[in-house]
Amino acid sequence: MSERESLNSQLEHLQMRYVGTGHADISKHEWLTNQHRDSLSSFIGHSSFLSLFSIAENESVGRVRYNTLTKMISPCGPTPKIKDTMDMEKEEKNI
Amino acid sequence: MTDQEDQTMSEWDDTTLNKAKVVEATPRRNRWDETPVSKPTTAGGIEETPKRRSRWDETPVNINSGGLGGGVTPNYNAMSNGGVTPIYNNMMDGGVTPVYNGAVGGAMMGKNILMQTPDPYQAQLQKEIDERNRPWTDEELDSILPSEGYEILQPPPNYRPVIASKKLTASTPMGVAGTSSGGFFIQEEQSRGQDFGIIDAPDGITIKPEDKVYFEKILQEGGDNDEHLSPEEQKERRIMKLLLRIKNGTPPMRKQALRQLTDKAREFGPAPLFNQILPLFTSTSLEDQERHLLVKVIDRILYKLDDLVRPYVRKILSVIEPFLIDQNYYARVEAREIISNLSKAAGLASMTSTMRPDIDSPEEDIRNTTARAFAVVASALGIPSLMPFLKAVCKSKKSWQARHTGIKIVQQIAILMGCAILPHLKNLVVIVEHGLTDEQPKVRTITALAISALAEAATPYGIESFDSVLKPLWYGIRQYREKGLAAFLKAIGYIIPLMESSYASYYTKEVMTILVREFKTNEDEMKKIVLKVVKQCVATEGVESSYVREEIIPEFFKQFWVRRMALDKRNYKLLVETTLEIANKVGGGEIIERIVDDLKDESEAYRRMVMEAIEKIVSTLGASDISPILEERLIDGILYAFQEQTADETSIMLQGFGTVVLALNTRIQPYLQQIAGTIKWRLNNKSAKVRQQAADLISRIAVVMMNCGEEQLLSHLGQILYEYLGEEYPEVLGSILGALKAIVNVIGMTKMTPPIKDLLPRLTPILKNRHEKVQENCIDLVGRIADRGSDFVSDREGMRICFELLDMLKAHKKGIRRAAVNTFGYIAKAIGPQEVLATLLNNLKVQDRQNRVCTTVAIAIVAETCAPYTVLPGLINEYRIPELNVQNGVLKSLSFLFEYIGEMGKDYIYAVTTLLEDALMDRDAVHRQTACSAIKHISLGVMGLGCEDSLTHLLNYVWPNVFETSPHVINAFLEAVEGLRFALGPNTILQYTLQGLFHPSRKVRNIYWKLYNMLYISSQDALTPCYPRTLDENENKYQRYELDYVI
Repeated sequence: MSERESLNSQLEHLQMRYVGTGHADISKHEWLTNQHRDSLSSFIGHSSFLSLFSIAENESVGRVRYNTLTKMISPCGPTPKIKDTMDMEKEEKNI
Repeated sequence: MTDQEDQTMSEWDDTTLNKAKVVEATPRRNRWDETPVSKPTTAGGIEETPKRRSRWDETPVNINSGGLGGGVTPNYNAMSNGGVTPIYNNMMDGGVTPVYNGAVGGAMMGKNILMQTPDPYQAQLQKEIDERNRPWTDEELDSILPSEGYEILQPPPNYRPVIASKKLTASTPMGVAGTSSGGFFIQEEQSRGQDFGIIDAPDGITIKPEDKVYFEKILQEGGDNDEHLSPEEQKERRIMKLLLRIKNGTPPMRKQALRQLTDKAREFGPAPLFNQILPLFTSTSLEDQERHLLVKVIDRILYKLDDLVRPYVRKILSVIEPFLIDQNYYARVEAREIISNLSKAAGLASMTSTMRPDIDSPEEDIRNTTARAFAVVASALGIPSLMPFLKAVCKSKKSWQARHTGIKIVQQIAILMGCAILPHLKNLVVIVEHGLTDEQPKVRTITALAISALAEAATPYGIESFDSVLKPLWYGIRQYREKGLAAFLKAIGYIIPLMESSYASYYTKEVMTILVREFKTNEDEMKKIVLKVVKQCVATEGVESSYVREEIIPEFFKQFWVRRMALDKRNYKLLVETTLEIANKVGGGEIIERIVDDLKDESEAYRRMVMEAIEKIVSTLGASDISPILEERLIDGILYAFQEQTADETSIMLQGFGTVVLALNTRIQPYLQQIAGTIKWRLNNKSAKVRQQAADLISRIAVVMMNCGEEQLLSHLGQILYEYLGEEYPEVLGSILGALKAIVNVIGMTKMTPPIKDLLPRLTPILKNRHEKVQENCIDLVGRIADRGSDFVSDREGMRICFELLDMLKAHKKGIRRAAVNTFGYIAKAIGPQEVLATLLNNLKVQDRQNRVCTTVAIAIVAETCAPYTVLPGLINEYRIPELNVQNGVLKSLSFLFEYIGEMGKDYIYAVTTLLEDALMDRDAVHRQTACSAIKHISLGVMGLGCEDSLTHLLNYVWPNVFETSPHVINAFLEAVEGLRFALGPNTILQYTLQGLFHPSRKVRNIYWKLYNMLYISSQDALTPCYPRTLDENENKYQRYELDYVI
């Protein structure tokens, strides 16, 4: 039993050290924010993406890049405050 | 007197001589209260009876035992059989004194008892002594004495027994009195179980009897009825119980108790805690592990108590400080840890004020430990915070002891902290420098030592900090003699390597005159320091070789290369190192020339030292500057030294010989005949060690012999070694096999004599040998033959070897197992896989797990060396046997097989798919686990080779194992998914994963998120295009519009 726990917790601990990993209690908003940030940084990392977007948006590459960077601050908007879901989560935790 | 009496007499005398200890230790008085002796001893004819009786008094004779002739004094071995002396453990020394741990002798014990040390160990000892020395009862005496010829007398009226006196019991030898009515010791065994054995404490903890005294209170009452106790006592007992659990409990118990104790530390308060912990620390029976646990306890509670600990600093220090100079390294380290934590908790002020009085204590030991403790404080709180205090102490006018301790603190700081002193180096030097001119010699010495410690710690930086001390040091070495001089030289020795080359050269010349003068010294300490300083000076860049050659070498060799230096191990080592350093400067040939003739010296220890120096020089500098004439002298000397060695506890001669031969390479050719002659002669020697060494030498020089073109000589040696294969000493046999291997390696299979077809059959039975060295060398040799000379291995011989190797698969040594598995591969290649495979597959049915594991590896190796298609059909067929072990073995073989064949797996993946399907649907978890690991290896091997169809199919079978709970199975599952991620791409796996990420059940979500994280960490970027499209919600924009752009 202890071996199993330690094995799991070790792996989890390792995973938690990375930004962007998830867990069983993650909210939809949080997960999607991570997805968006990953996508945006991926766009910046691959210059062909930026070229494509700049043509599509009719903007300079530098502007698109800047926009993308700015967007990363809050890619999906503010955290939604939905009371009942939070309560549900709490209850579930108690279980 | 008759002859018989004469004999008795002499025997009696002998006994008295041999057992003088026994007789002396027996006080005369003792005899009185034990034996009623009728008459005083008289001379003449009636002497025999009283003599015999007195013998009975003093040396116990087992009269009851018929085995020993009545009149003959039994020797002590017989006695222990006879049972009069109860010997209850092997350490009992001649029945007189129980020696418990070797070091505590009888005298020591007596002393302790006189001092009445309240030691539990002593108490136990005392109890046993008393038990053995209680007065004899009449029944006991009746049972062991003949009823005739004796009469019972009244003790003299003036006789007064002093039984209760401690002194008496302590000096009385024990083991004389039998304790039971039979005169034997059997009944004592029963009581000992309770009194002296392991004691049961609450919670099922067992403790040593010596610890009983500390935990007495909770042992007595079971600890549950505390109601009538005062709160203080209750607290005390609670702490005691927790400590007991920590010290002797099981790990979970200990963990819990430790946490409780830590949490409640402030509630308990420092006083009751330390009152119990510190005495435990000083217990003599404390083991390393227990001390470590106590240190842990103290660490934790110090952290919790923080400044509450201040009033107890003194008490804690007085217990912990002695451990700073303990012989045990770990005791020292743990003491440092405690003091470091203590100083963090209590603060600098209370530490300094507590230890201040000890600084000028008249006791050297106290000052020493205080200095070390201060060094620990400095490393815990930082040197700068301690600096003002140190400055004041080092300049103390009150007493030289204070100055001495202050400077010693600086030395200890340097030793403890190493290069961490560099930022404060200048300040540290400044506060000690005045000590070099102190009027007290001891202060001067410690100052020089402190400076050398600082310089050693600072190497190679910080020469500018030492500018101010150079002058006093140089004056010092001219002024002082003996001990003071040694310390000064040491300081200079450590400072010179820090200098720039031109300065170093100048100062070396300055100091060298003194050093050369001190070469003659007789003092050991001085000798060591001089050698060390010479080594340091010579190694410095600025010192030229011509200077070393002219000024140092002549005197150096005259004074140091003498026999006496070889006797002390540390001198020996230093001298060899220093000589090597000189050789680095002036060239090896010159140095070897000077010492080479000493290889023929009379003293063996000296010859060995010369050989070691030559070996070191030749291995670092090569043999290119050895002239032909020197070469001749060298070989001559080495041969002499090699042949003349008698004490062969070291392999220096062998190593030296090997190194020199390798370095000379082809130049050795003219001497090879002679060397071979020596080897041959020594192979035939009576001593096993000599034979072993000769064989080892062959394996070292075989390569060089081949280079010299002495193929014939090698063949000859091979023939001789072959004849010695009947060797009975396994160590020697191992070396002989090693030598044969070396020869086979250099001259090749075809030219080898004896021919391989003769050699191999001789080797097969040797494989049965149980000795590891023999096994390893033999397998290596057989493997080499099977690998390179497969033509010479007949089928039958190969099979025989395979059978032998099967046993070897479960050898303890990993090297042997590996060699065996490799050899399997070679043999399978040599004789074809069918036969070997049949043997191996049969082996899968055996019970022994290790054997099966090795077999699976061997099968995989065979498949690798003989192509998989030769093995797979048989292997797959074997899976049809409905037997757990066999099926698992097959799966495991597949796993190894695909691991080894890698890319080649793409041709075989369809062949095994159905088998793996079946295994992944099996009820047995091990089937699924092993199949998973096989799939991992397959998928890693075939990545990018177009096998996605089959792998996707397998993934569908792997995936249902996602909810496995057994750690091995789930691990294998995760690894299989990881492998498939490589072969199928992360997107495929993501699609499988998405279904469970927001599942209503937490159990499902947990494992799916773990999978997701695994995926995310390794292929974060690759996942971005594949996330599912999510619709916007209220103010949240979840769509990634960029991905929809179409131009």
